[in-house]
Amino acid sequence: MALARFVQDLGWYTLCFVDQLGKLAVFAAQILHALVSPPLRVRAFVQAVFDIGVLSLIIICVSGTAVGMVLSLQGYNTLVRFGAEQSLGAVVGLSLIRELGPVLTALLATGRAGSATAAEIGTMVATEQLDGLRMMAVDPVDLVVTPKALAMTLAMPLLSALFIAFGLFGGYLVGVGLMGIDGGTYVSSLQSAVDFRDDVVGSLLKALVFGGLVGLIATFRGFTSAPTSAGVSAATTSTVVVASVCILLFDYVITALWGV
Amino acid sequence: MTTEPTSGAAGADVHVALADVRMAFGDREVFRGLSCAFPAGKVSVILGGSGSGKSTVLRLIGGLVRPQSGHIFVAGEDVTVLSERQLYGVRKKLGMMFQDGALLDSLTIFENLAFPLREHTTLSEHAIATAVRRRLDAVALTDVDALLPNQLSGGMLKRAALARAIMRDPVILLCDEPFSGLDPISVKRIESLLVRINRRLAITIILVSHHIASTMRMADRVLLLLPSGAVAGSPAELRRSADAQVVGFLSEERDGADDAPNAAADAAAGRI
Repeated sequence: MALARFVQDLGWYTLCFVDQLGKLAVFAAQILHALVSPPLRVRAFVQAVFDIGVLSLIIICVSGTAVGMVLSLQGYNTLVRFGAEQSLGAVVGLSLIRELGPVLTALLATGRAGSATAAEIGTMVATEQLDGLRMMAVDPVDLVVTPKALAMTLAMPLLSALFIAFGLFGGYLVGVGLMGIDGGTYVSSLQSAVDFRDDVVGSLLKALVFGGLVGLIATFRGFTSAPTSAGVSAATTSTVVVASVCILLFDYVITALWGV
Repeated sequence: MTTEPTSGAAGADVHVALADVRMAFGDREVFRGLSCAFPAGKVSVILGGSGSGKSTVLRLIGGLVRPQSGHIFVAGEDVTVLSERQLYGVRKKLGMMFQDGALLDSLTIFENLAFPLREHTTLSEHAIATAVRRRLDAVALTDVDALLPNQLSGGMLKRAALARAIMRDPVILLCDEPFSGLDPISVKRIESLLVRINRRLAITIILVSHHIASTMRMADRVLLLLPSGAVAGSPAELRRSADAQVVGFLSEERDGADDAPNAAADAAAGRI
């Protein structure tokens, strides 16, 4: 009896998952269609870049610096055991560029901008603003969703680059200023270890994919939220949870496939 | 209004018609075989208790929700068979005033009213500004251009929503509870506004209301949604109805919701 119930529940959740996945695919197709169809929503896009990118600057810069400092401290303490502290720049740089930069930026942007995007669109659903747009013969996917999803996608590599830059700076501060490593050694180690095409471009592409994921999930959750305050709350929460898990899963897949 | 017309060829004087519409949300069935018609150029009011599906009728007409079965004809087109993109063509003929306004909360009142014109016309900014001023004057709103929707009172918000709904001179105006939550003076003001719009522009108005008094004053036709089914007729016909449910509904509402507005209106006029 319990087994039957388990199988029944499993079947139900699988159906729900496939249903949601299908709806997400249709939603993504609608966004792509809106992207290539006139009119271009430049004003809405610029506003979304400001909301998602500019307003995230402080958290990205502060977090990047802090992560770089910790990384440098931990790296130095490990490397010094093997007499390899001269490689600190390479360790900090590769860790930030290949992995921590894009992943942590995406997680931070999900918490700050992704949840805000879902809440904003969810509130528009609850207050019938999206229905109001539909009744004015304006497609809400075109006007509201697409600029936000696009802004999230394009802002993520820039935020990630900024995170990495501040991380390297934080690492330099601790490694050179606190631990007494030579500044030239730190920078030359970094330069010789990091390959622009494989590491930097790969890292930015990774961030671009994460941006697309977060943008799609946040707008989808907001757009399909129940028209109640609880619905908005659930959309916000699920955006953070689903997007964070997806970022980590996709990080593995991208690393395995692209080697970035 | 009739409760049975609704073939594909809705009569020339019928602007909106529902034919054998079944609508359910999950397990809860709202309509089973609802048929009704709303005549062109007239004010039609949909009455009914809470949860009777009044607002759903408006959302069905606007294509915001789709029925499980049946047909809905709006200005000659069956909206139930149109795609979302095709629906936009029909919606350009419609104006809708939502219960809570549904104005875009990040835009000022001026921008909210200018929005449909900027989206669908090539008018100059000067022409748009003139049109917005004219509509704001029509709904007796002044000095609100730069305000955000959340800075307006309930009555002002309703009037701003009405102004936006008529910005593009729709042929059919849908109003969802335009009088709810308003003081009696605001009720009278919006009522007279709607009547004036109807008489001057010959717009077909379909509105959902709880206010029996205003309904009886302004409606040309009334659709009463009762648990046993829909009853339609002119206000006079409904008043004369011997149907126990109709009599019960009208008297209950008269004893309840309409007393307050009337008393307050009397007070405002200095009669109390």
